[in-house]
Amino acid sequence: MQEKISIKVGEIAYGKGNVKISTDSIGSCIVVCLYDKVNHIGGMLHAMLPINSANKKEDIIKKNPGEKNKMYTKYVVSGIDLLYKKLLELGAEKQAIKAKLVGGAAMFKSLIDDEHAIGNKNIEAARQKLGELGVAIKSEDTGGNIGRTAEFFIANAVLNVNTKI
Amino acid sequence: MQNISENKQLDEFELDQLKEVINIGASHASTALSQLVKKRIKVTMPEIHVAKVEEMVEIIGREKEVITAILLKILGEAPGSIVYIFPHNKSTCELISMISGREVDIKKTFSEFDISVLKEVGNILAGASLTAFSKFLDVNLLQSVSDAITDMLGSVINTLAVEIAVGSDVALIFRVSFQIEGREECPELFFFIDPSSTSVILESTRQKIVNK
Repeated sequence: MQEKISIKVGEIAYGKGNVKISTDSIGSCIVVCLYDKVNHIGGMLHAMLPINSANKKEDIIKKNPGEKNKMYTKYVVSGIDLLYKKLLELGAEKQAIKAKLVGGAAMFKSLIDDEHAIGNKNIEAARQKLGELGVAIKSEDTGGNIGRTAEFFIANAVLNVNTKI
Repeated sequence: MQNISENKQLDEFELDQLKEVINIGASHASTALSQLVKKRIKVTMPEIHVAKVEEMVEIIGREKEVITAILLKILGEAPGSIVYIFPHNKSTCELISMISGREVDIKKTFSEFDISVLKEVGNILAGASLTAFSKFLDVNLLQSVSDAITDMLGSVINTLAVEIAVGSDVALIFRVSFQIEGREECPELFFFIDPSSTSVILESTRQKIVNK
């Protein structure tokens, strides 16, 4: 039977085999899917900001002990790190790990100039971090000015992105 | 000074003060709306939420519903944002018709003209609220030009949450609903107060109480 996990912004979920991870309400935040197609291991991160610039304390461990396969962070860079390590722990092979990106829109265009377009910064941060880890980005549905929802199937690495406008 | 990004705690009394200030702004907005459409308007008491930025979407709800949001930034001594949420229902169509005199087809998406009517409504209502805030709090406040977006409510709110998250882990949300006499609920009004502004607002309300 398929296991379904739904994550909100600031959450990470991962799994092995027949698992579907979905998330809604993607705006300027970014969703990073990491997966190893060969071993059917993967996960998803829904982050808000590039880095923890103020070095605030992060609550990365499970908030609800009943919830398995979840971690928490608002940040792209630490989130990718956490998810990448988790995938390796689950048995993924470094060379086989690939990425797909969704989000980073600039929704309120007239109020936010390029300098402040956090969506863009999120995309850049994800690309850079994945580059450092040597993870290839297989697909991107990023930028623009619309909201998205995403569903990721770990078994075959299929990613469905939905828009309503 | 209260810093709610470090400490989520504002006491009951302080929350009540903030609520009262928002209530003043909201009732001025409703008076403006009432004059605009020449109908009576019912306003709910502000609902207040102090929440983590990640939780904003959940609190506001209706994530996947497509709505039109009008956003105005509050600039000046107590910055924040005002957001009007117009659901795509009969009430919003009627509101646009009442103001513009043009028929709006509920089956179609809003035209550019319809959106500009909503933006104007946002401007007028925000103007009324901010004038009231400025007078009551004795602080300088300005409003930005309004921006409109039609999309899923969750994506819109998360985008705002990201903006707030840059400066704070916690958001202060006030929610008010307007009801035009005899119509379904429409629209909803949200005030997002920058956590740094709470101290400004509380300080000036405190001064008022002391001086009485």
